[in-house]
Amino acid sequence: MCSDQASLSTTISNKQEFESLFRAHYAPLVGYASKLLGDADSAADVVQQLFVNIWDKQGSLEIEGSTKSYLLRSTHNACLNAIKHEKVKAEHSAQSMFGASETEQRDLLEEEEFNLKVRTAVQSLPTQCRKIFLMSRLQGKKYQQIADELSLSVKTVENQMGKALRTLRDELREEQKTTMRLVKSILWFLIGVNVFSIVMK
Amino acid sequence: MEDLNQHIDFELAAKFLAGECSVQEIETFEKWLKVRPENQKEFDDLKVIFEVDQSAPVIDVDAAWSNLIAQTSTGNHRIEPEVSVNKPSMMFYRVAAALAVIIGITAALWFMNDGAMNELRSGNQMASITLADGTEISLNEHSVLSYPQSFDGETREVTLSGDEALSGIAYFKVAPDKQNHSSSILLVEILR
Repeated sequence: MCSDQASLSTTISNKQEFESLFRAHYAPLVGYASKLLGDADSAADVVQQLFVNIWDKQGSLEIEGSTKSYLLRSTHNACLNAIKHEKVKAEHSAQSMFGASETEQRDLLEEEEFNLKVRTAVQSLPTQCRKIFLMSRLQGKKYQQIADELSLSVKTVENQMGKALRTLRDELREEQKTTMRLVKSILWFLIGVNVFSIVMK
Repeated sequence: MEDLNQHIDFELAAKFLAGECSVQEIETFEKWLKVRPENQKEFDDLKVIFEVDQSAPVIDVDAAWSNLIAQTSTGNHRIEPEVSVNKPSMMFYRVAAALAVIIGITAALWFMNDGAMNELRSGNQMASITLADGTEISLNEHSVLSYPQSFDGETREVTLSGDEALSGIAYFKVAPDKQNHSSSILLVEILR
C-alpha cells in the first residue's frame, strides 16, 4: 500500500530486499514509462534496465530522497534517453511530459499506481460481474448488447454493473483503512502505556 | 433514490457513467448530486474508478522478475547491491515526530517514577560530595555511597556500603531539613 515509506537508513543488502523493491515499483514505473514512450515493450525494457543498473552498482549507489522519487527520476530520464537515441519511435511518445516538473511526474506515477490497483481489483471481481464490467468498459458495449450476447436481462446487466462499481470502491477504501488501522493501533498502545505509568505513580 | 439524503445508488451511478440513463433518470441523479457536497464527492470517486483505462496491457511482475534474475545471474553479479536512502518522506517525518513525542513522555515519566539513584565510589582515595539538600559527605577509601538526585519524600535516605569485603566509612555533615522541622538521624546497619 504505502510504497512511499522510506526509513532513515535503509540498506538494500540482499536479494529479498531488492526483490520487494522491484515488486513494489516495477509495474507503476512501467505504466509511467509507457505513457511517456507510447510503447509498452520499450517501457518494460527501460525499467528492467534501470533495475539491472541498481543491482550492478554494488553498494556504491547513494540515493537522495525517497526510493520512490529516485526510481521515478531515473525512469523519467531513462525514457528521455531512449527517445534521444532513437531506440523508440518518437511519434508515439508524450512530448508534453518531457519537461514535466517533479510534481507532475509524481502525479502521473500516482495515477498509474491507482490505475493498477483498480485493474487488480477488477481482476478479482466475480466472473460474471467482471465479464460484464469489461464488456462495457473495455469493448464499449451498450447494456442491451451485453444482455443479448450473454442471454441475460438488461436489468441483470444494470445490477452487475452497480455491483462491480460498489465492490471496486469498497476494495480501494479497504486498502487505505488497513494502513490507517495499523498506525492508529500503535498510537493507542503508546498512549495506553503512558496512562498506565501515570496511574501507577 | 427516493430519499435524496441516502447513499449513492451504485446501479444508477453506473448507468449514468455508462451513458445508459433515460432523461428522467439523469434528472433524478443530478438532483441527488446537488443535495450535499458529500454526494458529489462520492460520485467523483466512483467516476475516477469507472474511467480507469482497462485496455492497458497486464504487467506480469513475476515474469519480469524471473527475466531480471536471468539477466543479472549471467554476468558476475554475485555481489549484492546496496541502496541507502537518506531523505525519508513527509509521512515518515510525521509518524516519527509523533512517536518521538510519545516515547519521550513515556521515558520521562518512567525515569521520574524510578527516582534514579546515583552512586559514588571512592576507590583508592577519599571523596567528598554535597547532596541536593546541602548535606556534606566525606567518603573514606573503598566506600560506596548511593544517593538520590533529589530528596522528595519525608525521609532522606542514602546507603553506605564498602567495596568488596570492606565496609564503608563516611563522615556526614547533615544539613537541617527545610520541609520537615524535626531533624532526626536514623542509622540502619545491615550485617553481612
